[in-house]
Amino acid sequence: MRLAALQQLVQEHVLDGGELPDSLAAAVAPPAADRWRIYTDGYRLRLIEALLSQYPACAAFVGETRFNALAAAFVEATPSVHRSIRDYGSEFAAFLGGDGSSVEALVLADLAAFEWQLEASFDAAPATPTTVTDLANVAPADWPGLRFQAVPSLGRIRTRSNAVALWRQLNPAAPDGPPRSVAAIPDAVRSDPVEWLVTRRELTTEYRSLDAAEAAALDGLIAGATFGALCESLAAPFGDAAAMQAASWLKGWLIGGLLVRV
Amino acid sequence: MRSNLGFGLGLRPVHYTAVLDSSPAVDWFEVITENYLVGGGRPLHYLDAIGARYPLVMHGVSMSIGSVAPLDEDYLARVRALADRCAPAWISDHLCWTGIDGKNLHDLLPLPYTEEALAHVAARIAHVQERLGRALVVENVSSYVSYTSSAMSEWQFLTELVHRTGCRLLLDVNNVYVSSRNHGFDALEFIRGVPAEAVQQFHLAGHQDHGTHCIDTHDAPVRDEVWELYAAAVARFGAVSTLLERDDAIPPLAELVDELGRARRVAAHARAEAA
Repeated sequence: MRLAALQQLVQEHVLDGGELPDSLAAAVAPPAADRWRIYTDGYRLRLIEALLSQYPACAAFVGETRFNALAAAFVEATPSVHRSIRDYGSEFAAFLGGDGSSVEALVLADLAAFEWQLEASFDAAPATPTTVTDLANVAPADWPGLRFQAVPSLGRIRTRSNAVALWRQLNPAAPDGPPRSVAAIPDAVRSDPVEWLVTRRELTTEYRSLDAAEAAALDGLIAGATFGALCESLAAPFGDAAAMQAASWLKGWLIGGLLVRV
Repeated sequence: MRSNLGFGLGLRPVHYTAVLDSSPAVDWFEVITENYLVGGGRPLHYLDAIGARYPLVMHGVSMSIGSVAPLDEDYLARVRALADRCAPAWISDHLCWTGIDGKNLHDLLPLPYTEEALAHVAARIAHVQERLGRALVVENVSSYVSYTSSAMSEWQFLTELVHRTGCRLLLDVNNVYVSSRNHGFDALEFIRGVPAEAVQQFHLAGHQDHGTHCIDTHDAPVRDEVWELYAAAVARFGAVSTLLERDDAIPPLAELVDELGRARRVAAHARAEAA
């Protein structure tokens, strides 16, 4: 059998995980035929372990048995296309959310998205954020044209549940131990979504919530809007105070190390 | 020319701070290449800090040198950039394939030892060596299946790769033992069968013995059978850089440093006996 055909057969069998097909059985020397399980089982165990490592709070929330079942279902549905196993699981939050019809699914999806962003911020490239001092000498006429981009570690999350509060409680150091069911989470599902930003300063990951107006302003700025456009977009809600509000938020984002001037 | 780095450990994130705090008696560290192909943050911070104190070797797990899928040029460029950053003594990966059609099975799957596979892998090693600007160090893997199409032994295959490409060998002594049990060959024949001058490095690790077969698990200390084979390898190949790996049930750093001490003693004894 040619190399390409053999690798096709082997990969299909490892991903399928079922009985050894005759075509592959004929290509392997006895007594190795029954040893394929080491590869088919190993593939699943490794990916489930990777998910457990990426999503410890999700696992702590639903317990090991339930998490393993969810992870196993995800693995069957989602072959890895990543070179590093650390990158496997980026779609896990969407998978857990399903059709959004169950409260547990909603909380798990938010929790997973938050955990994933923490890791992504953690591994992001370093940057030298622009500081308030850097902008001290910008001429007034140049302010409207200022543009910024996000530092690589900046991530934005929107939760529809109290998943971030839950995440804090799932910390092993929490005094009361973690809640194990959605019934034990106050306001598990929120009537209005909460906006979050996650970033990394040196080696420490930080996060905070934003109100909806600030989140929209930040999203607009890092999507390429000028500072002048930001001020204009705030004219309706803030009137004469629009520029003041924009400057206030910008100062906070700069102090937070979120932006690099373009 | 073979440089001997001495006795090293596989660097694992759980030991980052212990390494920096205790400066353990380890001659060098081997790092998993893929763990550092990230933009920044903790992995690269510790890579730089530990690399400033110890020699490093880069050890990859996803080059997939035996796959029929095209080599990933972006990956090779990132490996080269990482090498420029941390200046490893050499770069290694495995004689295996890890997936095709854009998928990754995250396993080190064995190749058939055929002329077709040999020509394929040799051409790819030559390309990788050109891209990385240095000889690739190729490791033998543990395997659980073998193919009816194989026309030569694993050591004959490795030897021919060395002759055709000038690549170097990372002889994983535990993998030789595990595969010898699984496929019923003589581990010493493997040791005797590879070209001595090409052996750049040894790996040592633990495995699980299931009676009918062994599984390469890296979750326990090196077993006595593998220490015996290591002594035979040292007797044949001389002073070769030796690396102890542990990837699961990872103990405190001090325990691994102690186990590395056993490698030093076994190697010293084997060399004295061979002299």
